[in-house]
This record gives sequence, structure tokens and C-alpha cells, in this order.
Amino acid sequence: MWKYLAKRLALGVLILFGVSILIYMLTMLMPADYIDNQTAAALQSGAMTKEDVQHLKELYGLADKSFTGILKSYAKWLSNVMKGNLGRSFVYGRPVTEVLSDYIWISFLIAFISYILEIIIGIPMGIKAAVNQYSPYDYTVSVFAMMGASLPSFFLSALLMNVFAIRLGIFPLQGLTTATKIFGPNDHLQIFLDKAWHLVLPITVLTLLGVGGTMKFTRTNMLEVLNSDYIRTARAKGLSEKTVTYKHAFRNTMIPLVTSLSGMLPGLFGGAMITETVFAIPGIGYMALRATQQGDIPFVMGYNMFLAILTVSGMLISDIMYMVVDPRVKLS
Amino acid sequence: MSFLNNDKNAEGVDSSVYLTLREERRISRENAKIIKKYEREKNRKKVDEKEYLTEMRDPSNVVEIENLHTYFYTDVGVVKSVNGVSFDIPQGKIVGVVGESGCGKSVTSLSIMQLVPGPTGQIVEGSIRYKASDGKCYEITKMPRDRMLKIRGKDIAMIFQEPMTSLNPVFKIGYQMDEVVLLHEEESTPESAKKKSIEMLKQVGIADPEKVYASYPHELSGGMRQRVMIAMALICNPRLIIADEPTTALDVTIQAQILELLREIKEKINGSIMLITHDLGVIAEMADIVVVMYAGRIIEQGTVKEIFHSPKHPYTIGLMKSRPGRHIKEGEKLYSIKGQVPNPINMPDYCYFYNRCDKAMRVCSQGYPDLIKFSPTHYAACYLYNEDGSEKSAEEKERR
Repeated sequence: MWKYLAKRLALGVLILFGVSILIYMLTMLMPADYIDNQTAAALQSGAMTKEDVQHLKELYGLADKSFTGILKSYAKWLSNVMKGNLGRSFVYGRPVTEVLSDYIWISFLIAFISYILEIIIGIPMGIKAAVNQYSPYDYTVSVFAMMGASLPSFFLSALLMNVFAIRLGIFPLQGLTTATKIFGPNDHLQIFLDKAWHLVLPITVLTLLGVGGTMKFTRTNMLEVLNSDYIRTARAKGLSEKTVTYKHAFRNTMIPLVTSLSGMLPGLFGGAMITETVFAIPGIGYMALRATQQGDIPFVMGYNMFLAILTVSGMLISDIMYMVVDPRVKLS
Repeated sequence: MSFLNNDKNAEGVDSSVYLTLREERRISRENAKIIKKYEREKNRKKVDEKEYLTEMRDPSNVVEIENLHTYFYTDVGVVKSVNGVSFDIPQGKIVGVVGESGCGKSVTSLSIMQLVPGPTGQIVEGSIRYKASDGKCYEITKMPRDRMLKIRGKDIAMIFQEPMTSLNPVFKIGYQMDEVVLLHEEESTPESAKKKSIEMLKQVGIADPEKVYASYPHELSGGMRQRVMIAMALICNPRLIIADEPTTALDVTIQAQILELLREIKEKINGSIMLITHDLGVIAEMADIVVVMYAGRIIEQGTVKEIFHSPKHPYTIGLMKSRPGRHIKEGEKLYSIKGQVPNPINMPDYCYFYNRCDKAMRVCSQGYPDLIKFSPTHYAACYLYNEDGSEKSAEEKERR
């Protein structure tokens, strides 16, 4: 098993290497880079000349956009990364690692809470829908699940904002803190409640988007298990329907469920770009979108590599969890 | 609608499969109504025992099935899987049920267990009487679900066809066996259950019961798993074991061992076995009484001797002819009964075997034949015979 893990880790490193080349190339080839974005106005008004811009580009390492030039700058970036240095963000003027570690937690908090909610709402609903297949409950839940899963996040966000923030005024529209309120340095509870109040709508959006998928996934797997021979055996033993469903059937449904859900865990750090942006929550997704729009190569690279690491480790966790929950699986 | 004149039927396509939207809606509406009625009946709690207590017709029987109808209310119509089946399972005897796939053998056995896959499958009519060890007789078709749980696995146990998939893959053998003991024996503790499970595994001929006890199903071979299934079925000393094609999925050498084991165990616990199979060799070897089913009905039943030495119904005769054996000359093709079973949704109102029967007469297409008694144990449903059991003369057949 350790050998398998070592192999998977080595493979992971290889994947990350490939991913980094790909992303670097793509970001370098974006038509307008950071300097173009920043100097466009000055260039137009004549405050800067083309030479000035070119000079700036050289300073930022963006001048040479030829293939060899990109390779060279990639090599430089890579050697820095090896030393643990992801570079300085152009937009935020701070080391990338610092920006990442500052904004990750709020994103994680939102994602984690909605992840937990998805699980505790979606799984029982899925089980109940499967046990009562084709009942009114099943149809109702399935329809709502599909609606939730197919709504675009910006639309659902806008809808909720319109109803709950603008019309009813129950929840704040955007942001993480109320700008008009002044808190003392020791008002920790108030600050916490204020932030929690702001997070209700974004968490609702993320939960509504995800719960349908979890429910459907549970329902499908549960149905498959409920139709299998060993469930008939369990019934033939005289076990009550409750034991059959929640012990014999659910223990088997858990195999795909646990592996896929645990694989999602690292991804929770990645941030919800669109939802965070719509609600103007300073999370990692929001920061990354801003950086990408302005061609902030060090930040985009750092963020995307971070996402790649999360994905790779998510898959690894999934595989390990497979072995934990399914006695038939041995990793080798 | 005649089966012989309809081209669509000749190709094996039935016009009844094509439904208009309105028909479909009507069917599902009616189904929902019927299903609701039956489900409510089964889900009742606190039912007075008197409602499902009954008397056996013959006290030497463990189970008496009488005029059983089990239907499936599907979206394309009602499938009459079991359509008026009656037979007895006497104490200490092996009753073999034969018939081709889909003839209702398994559904009959699932009806006895109240395990017909619901809500589409429902016992519609008839009775299944079961005599418990304390002498009380229960009417299984009227029993509420929670009361039935006490009989399942304890008094009536079942062995399934597919040992590879009939054990839960995520629990150890030991856990799955202990569960039955802990469920049905009130004074059992985890330790006593374990002891009993291991003892039972030893009894079914497993050499290393402790190791098997601690194994997962996937770590065992097919034969071993079937032994485990048998051990699990026997652990509470059932009065009736329903073995639904217990050897079909096993290779031939293991088959003989498993059958031998079943017989030994039957002797030991003095229980009865209902053995479902389509292997006539197994029946000849094991059964005392044979029930031949065709398209949801019993067409012939009798003792093994009667069925094998003097089969009466053309279908049974065909079955006997179509098995490999010494009666086949070298180079001769194995006999097979031509044609197909009629569509289960639109059963004809005459003999179901009519369109395949090489002895069919005009009368055969004019109503379903009654059972003819040949001996106190031997019956067949066929127009070829007079009421006293003698075969009709040639001119009499001609006349009809």
C-alpha cells in the first residue's frame, strides 16, 4: 500500500508539472497583459510613450512573448517555486503565498458549511426518495433537486438577493461586514454575528446548487443497492425494513458516496469564484477572478497550481477512502 | 385473438405491448389504486391474531398453498405470474418445483415468504397456510408485515440462486450469520451467536469455520458461499427451506456436494424443502413430490415415480424427452419443445400450452382444462384424458 501511495504521489508531481506548463503558456499568451491593462489610459493621453511601456514590460518580465522567451521565464518561475517562492502578485503587491493564505479561510468556511449542509440534507432525502421510489415524495424531491442543480449560480444569487436583500431586507446585499456599523475592539461576538449574517445568502446559494447532486447521487446508488440480491437475502432473514435500509443497503451506498464526497474535501479551499464575486465576498475565488482579469501572472499561476494540488490530492483521498469503506478493494 | 392466426405473434411480438397514451394512463391509474389497497392491508399494525389464524386441511403438511394468485401490476398491464397454484408441502418431504424460466416458480416461493417485490407485485387471491412448530396455523396472505418478520429466516428460510451476489459484500460472514441468531433467538448473546454460527459452518462441511467466520464474502469461492448461505438458512432450525435453484450457478462437481448436503441436513432437522429448479436430474435425485409449472399454473403434479415413469401432460412428456440421457441415440438431435410461452400480460382463456402442443385438439382452444386425477397423488390438466384418468380413444379425440 505504501508503494502504491508513493507511486501515486510521484504521478501527482508529474501531473502538476504538466499542468503548470500548460497554464503558464496560456496566461502568457493572453492578448493584453498586466502592463497593457495598467498603461492603456496613460498611453492614450500621451502621458507615457511606447518605450516607457516596453521598459515596464521588461521590468515585469513580460517583454519576450516568443516561445523561447516564455520557456525561459517559465524556467525562472519554476526554479523560484522549487525554492518555495511563488513570486509577488502584480495586482495585490504582496507575495502570492501571503495573499492565498489570507483569503483562503473565508472561502473554505463558506464552502465547508454548505458542504456539511448538502450532506445532512441531501443524503437522507436521497435515501427516502429511493425507498419510496415513484411516490409523490420522490417526484417532488427529484424535481427540486434538478431545478437547484441546473440553475446558474449567478442567477440564483441574483434571485435570492432580489427577494431577501432588496425586497424583504432580511439579509444584507453584499460584502462581509456592515460598513455603517462601528465595532469596538472587543466586540468579537458582534463582529462574528455580523459576518455570519452576511454569509447566510452565499451559503444558501452554494447549498441549493449542490444538494440536488448529492440527493440524486444517493438516490441512484441506493436504488441500485436496494435491487440487489443481498438485500433480498437480508429481508429473507427476517430483518425489519429499517435495518435492511439503513444497515444493509446504506452501508453499500456509502461506498460511492464517501469516496466522492471525501474527494471533494480539498476542493473546498478553492473558493466559489462566481458566487463570491456576485456577493462581493473577499474570498480566494473573488481575488483570483480580479487577478485573472488584470493578467496578474504570478497570482494566476499560484492560484491555479493550488487548485491543481487540491484536485490531485482529492483524487488520492478518494482512492484511499475506497480502500477504507470497501473491503473488496486493496490498493496495490 | 388466436395465437396461430396472428402474424405478429408468430414473430414473437405482441400487439398488446403497443399502448396508446390514454390506455397507459388508465393502466397506471388503476394500478395505483389497487396497489394502495393491498399495501395498506399489509402495513397494518396491531392486527388481531384471530384474523390470520387458520386450520390446516391436512395436519401432516407444513405449508398448504391453495389457489394462489400473485399478480404484477406493471405499466403495460397485469402480469399474472402465479395464476391459481395449489400444492402441499408435507412435513419432512422434498417438493420439487420445475418449469421453464418465468413460469412463476420463484414468485410462488417469494409469495410464501411475503417477499414478492412490491409495490407492483401483490398476492391477489388464494391462501398460503403455514403450520408453526407450536401447532398454530397462520394464513400468510393475511399476515401483517411486522408479524411475518418473525417467521422469515426462523421458520421458513430461503437459499437463493446466486451465491456470488446473495451475501452482503461489506459485512463479514460472521456478522451476517450472527445477525440471524441475535434476531430470532431471544436469549442469545454475541458470544453464543458466534459459537452457533461456527458450529453451523462446520455442519455444512466448511473445513476451517473460524477463518470463514472472519472472512468477507469476496474471499470465498462460489461453492463456499453457497454453503454459507445454507448454513445461514439453517441456523434457526427452520421447518421449511425454500431452495431457489441452489445449484444453478455452481459447477457440476460442487452441485452434487451441495445437494447431498441439503439432503443430509433435511434428515437432521426433519424439515421440509421446497426445491425450485429447472434441472430434471436434480429433481429425480432429490424430490419426493414433483410439481410441474407452466405459465403461472400447475399443469401436472405427482410423486417422482409418477412424473418420471408415466408423465401425462404433453409438456411434461416433452420435458422428459428433452433431457440428455441414455434414451438418446448417437447422432440424434436433442428434442426441444417448439414455440414460446404466451405473453404473460394477455393470457389466453384456453390451455396455455395449446399453441406449442403437438397433440392439440379443437377442444383445447375452448377453455382451460380441469385437473384430472390419475392417482391420489398424481394430477394433470389436459383434455387428452377422461375424467377417470384413462386416455381418450383416437376417435373421441377426432370428434373433439
